[in-house]
Amino acid sequence: MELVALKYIAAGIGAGLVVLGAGFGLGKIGAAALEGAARQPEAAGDLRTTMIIIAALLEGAAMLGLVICLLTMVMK
Amino acid sequence: MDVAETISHHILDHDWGVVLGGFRIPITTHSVTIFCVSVILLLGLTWAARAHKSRGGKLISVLMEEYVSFIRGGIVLPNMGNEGRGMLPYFCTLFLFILCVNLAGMIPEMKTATSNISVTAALALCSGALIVGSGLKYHGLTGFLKGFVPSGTPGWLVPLIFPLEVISLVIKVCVLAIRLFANMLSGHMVLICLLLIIFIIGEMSKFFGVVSMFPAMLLEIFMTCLELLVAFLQAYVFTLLTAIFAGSVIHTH
Repeated sequence: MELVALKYIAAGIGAGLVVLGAGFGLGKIGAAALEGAARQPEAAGDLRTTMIIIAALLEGAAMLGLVICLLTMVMK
Repeated sequence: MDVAETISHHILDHDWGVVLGGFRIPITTHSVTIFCVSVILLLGLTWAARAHKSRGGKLISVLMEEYVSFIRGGIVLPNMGNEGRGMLPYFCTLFLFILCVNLAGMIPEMKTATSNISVTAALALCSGALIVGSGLKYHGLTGFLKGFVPSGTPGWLVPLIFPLEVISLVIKVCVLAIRLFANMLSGHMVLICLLLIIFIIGEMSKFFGVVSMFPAMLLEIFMTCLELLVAFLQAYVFTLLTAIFAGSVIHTH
């Protein structure tokens, strides 16, 4: 296998793993927020705000990995 | 259909090559976008402030009051306490600027300036200066440095914790820049690639090119709505995280 092809394979597998991790994390966040809102409906607004903030933080980490994958594809 | 050239034309920065009397003036597409947005914001907000003072244009002054009280009650006061009142103008400006630049990227002929790492790095540096500056202002240099290590740690642990905390602060500011940049860049790249799929399939067979138009356009509409949501969200998260970091530097330390 040529080294040039390995670069693209690595970028693809990396991007897939990043999205997998982000999906897992966001699912857990959503589940926890929904369960808390089900137990205490009056806290639903607070929970929604916190959930969105944590989701944005997690997406930031996922985007970091994605940027690294793009960099491996573009660099020589 | 040159894919790389289309993507680089629509997303990346382009120098206009303006030469004035022997000097190359670096006017690029992203800087023109920022300039237009800044001019519109300056004129609009000056008019709004004047309308607020003279009780003339009622609607815009009520909107501005609502916006400032949202920033003050939701972002600045809960995270920074009473010391944060002086920094309220910075947060209002930051939120409105990032929001307007993000939304300007959704207008067909204008590019998103925040999808350029230089722009987001500059914004993150401003926020980093605010965080460090507020720590220095409220605690002095020695208090700021002492605040990195929580009180009550054993002496042998300090040389381990101190560099870790300093690096963590630097990384937090850098990730602030990268989060905004990567979100904006990836959103626009997905938008363009969905359209390019139609052209790529169309080159191979015209019939399937037309057929693939329908799912691609549906996905495109969905992605555009998601992009609008992400524009608001990323502006909010940038401002909120700056407030949280500044608050943690002022209070615990």
